Amino acid sequence: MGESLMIQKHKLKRIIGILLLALVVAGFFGVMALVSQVIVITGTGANPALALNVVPTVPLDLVKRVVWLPDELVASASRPLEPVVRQEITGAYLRAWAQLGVSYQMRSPYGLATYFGGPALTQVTGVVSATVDSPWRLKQSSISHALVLTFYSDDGATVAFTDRDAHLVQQFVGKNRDDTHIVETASVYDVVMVQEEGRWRIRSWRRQGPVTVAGTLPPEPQGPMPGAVAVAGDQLVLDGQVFPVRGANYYPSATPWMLFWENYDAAQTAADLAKARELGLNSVRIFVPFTDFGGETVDPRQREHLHDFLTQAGTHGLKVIVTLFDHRTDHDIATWGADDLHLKGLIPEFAWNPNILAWDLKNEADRDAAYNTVALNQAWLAHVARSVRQLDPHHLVTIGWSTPEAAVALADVVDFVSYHSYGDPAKYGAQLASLRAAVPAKPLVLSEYGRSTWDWFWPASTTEARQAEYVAAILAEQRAYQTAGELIWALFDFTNVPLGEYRFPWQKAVQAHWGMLRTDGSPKPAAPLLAAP
Amino acid sequence: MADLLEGGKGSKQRMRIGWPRRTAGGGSPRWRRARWWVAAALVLVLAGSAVFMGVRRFTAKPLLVPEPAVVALTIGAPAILSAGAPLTLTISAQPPVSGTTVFVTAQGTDGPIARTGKLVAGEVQVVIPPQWTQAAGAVMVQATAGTVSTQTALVIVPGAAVNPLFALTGPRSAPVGGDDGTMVVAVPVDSFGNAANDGTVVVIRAQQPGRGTTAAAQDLFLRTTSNLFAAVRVATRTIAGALTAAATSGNAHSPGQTVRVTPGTPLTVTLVADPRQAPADGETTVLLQTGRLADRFHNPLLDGAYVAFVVTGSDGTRRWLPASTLDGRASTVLRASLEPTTQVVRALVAGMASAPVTVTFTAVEMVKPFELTATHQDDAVVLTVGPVIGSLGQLVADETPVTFVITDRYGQQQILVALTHYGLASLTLYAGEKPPGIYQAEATVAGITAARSFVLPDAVDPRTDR
Repeated sequence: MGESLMIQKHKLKRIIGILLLALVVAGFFGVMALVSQVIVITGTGANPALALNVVPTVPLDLVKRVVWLPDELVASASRPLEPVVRQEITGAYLRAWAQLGVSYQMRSPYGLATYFGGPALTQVTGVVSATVDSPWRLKQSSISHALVLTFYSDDGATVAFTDRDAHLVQQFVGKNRDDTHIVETASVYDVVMVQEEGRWRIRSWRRQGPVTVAGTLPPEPQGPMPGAVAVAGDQLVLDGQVFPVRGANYYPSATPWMLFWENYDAAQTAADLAKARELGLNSVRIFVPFTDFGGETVDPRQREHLHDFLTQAGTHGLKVIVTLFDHRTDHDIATWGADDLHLKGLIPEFAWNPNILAWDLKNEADRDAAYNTVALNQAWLAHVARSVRQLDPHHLVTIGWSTPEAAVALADVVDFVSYHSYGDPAKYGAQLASLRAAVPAKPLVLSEYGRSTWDWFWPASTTEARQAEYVAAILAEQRAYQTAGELIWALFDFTNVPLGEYRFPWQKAVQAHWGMLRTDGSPKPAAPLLAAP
Repeated sequence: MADLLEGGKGSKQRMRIGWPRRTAGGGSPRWRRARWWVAAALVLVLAGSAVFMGVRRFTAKPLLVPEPAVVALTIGAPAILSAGAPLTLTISAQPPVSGTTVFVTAQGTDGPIARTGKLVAGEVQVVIPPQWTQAAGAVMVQATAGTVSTQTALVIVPGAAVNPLFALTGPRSAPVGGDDGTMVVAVPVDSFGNAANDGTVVVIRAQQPGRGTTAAAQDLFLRTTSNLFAAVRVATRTIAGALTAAATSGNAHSPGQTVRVTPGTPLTVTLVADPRQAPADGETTVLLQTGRLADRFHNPLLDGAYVAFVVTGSDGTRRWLPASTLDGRASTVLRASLEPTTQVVRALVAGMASAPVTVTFTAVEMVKPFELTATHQDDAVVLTVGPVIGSLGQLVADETPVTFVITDRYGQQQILVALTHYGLASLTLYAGEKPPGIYQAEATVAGITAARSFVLPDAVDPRTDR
């Protein structure tokens, strides 16, 4: 009896020991995650300005969204506007819009008396109050304004102007956060502002003229320009010939992801693109990180790097899919203005560059739904598509979705549908068939697929031979469904996976071995398959 | 087992096992078996949760692409609506389904309003409250059901202009002459504060100073609003004073706005000094006065206008005597100097200067010639002036300054001042302060000078008394 009791207690001790061991292991992982976060945070440095709670006299970002068109003064009764006063009026006008947005968000007139005066204050207070009972919570943000001065009084106390493009975005959120409607408007406003007690206030204003609302399709590309890829039915064409995309996603072996542009090396680019060409590829896909490129104020140095890359690609006979807004996941409407400025600072310079195959608006845009609602995500993408087309009517536009299933969204917004697939090749055909049925008339491009050759028990890894088998299987389906092409992930194995991209050793190891070319530049068995017709 | 139940006897066995038994029977067989399964389940739950959270974290959410229950929508709305009137929108759908939610937004001047409604037999009415329609302007209405949307436009028109009509006038002062003026900006508004439609007639009247108050004497301006306002520039005329402006539009009236029309710069500046000559006694005053300062339209300068009288002495020094006008003239007084001198005076106003006027202060025999004595003491010389007698035979007033000029044999001078007391003033020069030798002394009081020479001895050495 005693011996039996001892055996049972021994078993219990063993069970508890296993539980404790499990807890220790979990705790170890947790500590590793915390340590890695600390390393990343301390490694990226801090912005000293964030330590200062400085209230700017002018909204730092909003003022960049205002353009003053040439004055159209009433000749008989007006005088030139001093530059200082113009700045004051700009700031007051933008703050009035911002304050109106705050009031709507708070469902109560808040601070409007600072920026509205007289009958305009009474009126806007009443209108805001009328929305209190609405079940919809409104958030509003200015994207841009284009002002034309029409009058400036002799005593400098009254000014009138027309806002030719009061471009706003509004987000209506219901009780359920996913019940969201995004409305984009562009209106013409006549405004009279009066200086009272040292402040410029809106005395009277009115929406005039045509108003456009989001929901209409973006304009079609005005192409093709010479040397640019175009769409013909469900295929891509170049100079009248079918252009099957045979490409790879590109980062240099030693400086992938966020290391790439900061350490851009023209010579390395030339050597790498030459290797891509040797494999028989005709295109590459690259990524333009929003922050690394300066955010709303595009860094001229990085723009020059991109220019060099495109030039080198052209030299090597490669077309480039440029993926925008990489690592930018916050699509709150308050950021749309900054996004537009980013596009205005980047796109126009390359609008006539024949080496661009397409603008990929966002990498794996559907994953951003983890940070935003689906409606907001899609509205942002549609807005970016419109903006890109307006800035560059010559090149194709696509969105790089993470799965074929996700790629049915916004198919009417893009020129060709692109998607990624890392799943079972045996299921890929069915996914492709489903996508083709949903989008019958547009080219389909598989813009990411692949297998890591890190041979470990980790599910995503495999051997080089299996990688080749995988590539062959995917390509077979691609040919069977006559898609417009594919781009492998990735061209090179990486010698350095940044900590900010992947934290844990097994993640890094896997991510470092997806290439078609090893770190020494030698091709893996899958490499020759890429250029096969 | 009994040993284990008893305290003390079985303690060593209990310590080896780890803890005492809690129950006499050690638990039921079913519980003993269950403990192993519970533990295993706990481990599986922990591991599974971690994997599940990780997978969920990196799995993209499926996109919602609902099938639209409608194919097309239309919006029934009035093309024109008066400000403040309720707005009823009728949304019609094809096919005429029921139960589908329609999201409606109306974008107006002061912002949007959102409403939802459910289709009933393909139709739903949405009412926008009058409080929202108070803002005049172009309105865009959009209705959305699923992925189908439509839009329509309407205009909310303002009502008739009401009191008070907003009119800004500025600048609030302007000089006469017609080259300058003031500007009147009028924004007629309705009862909801909406500016009148462009093309609304605004009448601006200006009553110039000095022209009476009849309608015939008013300047009349007719303007139409454009970009929400009407503006006119009212030029000044030749008479300074108060200009009153007001604006009307229909039955709306603005408050009167007053603008001060100021005189222009004076045509000429004249200056008079009375008397032109005075004794240099430090007490007598000379009146300086300008002539009537008026502009080319004979408008006198406003009271309080700044005038500066600039007095230049014979040694080139300059003084500024400020004054201000009263009834078109400015004046001040110039006090006589103590020394005979000639001073030149000009009047400056608004950048213009008068012709110079000369004022002479002549010498006055205040005192009779007096004596200067030098008294030698042990190591000092005391210079004494006086008694200094005035013209009436009086001792001069106490503290009348006496200027001593001491000149050494090399011609270097030292100027010292002493004050009289009961007509006498003295100055002591100590031997150690200056080199020994012969000196010349001059003493001057009110222009009368006495002189003599003296010898300053060596200083006495206190150590040797030599």
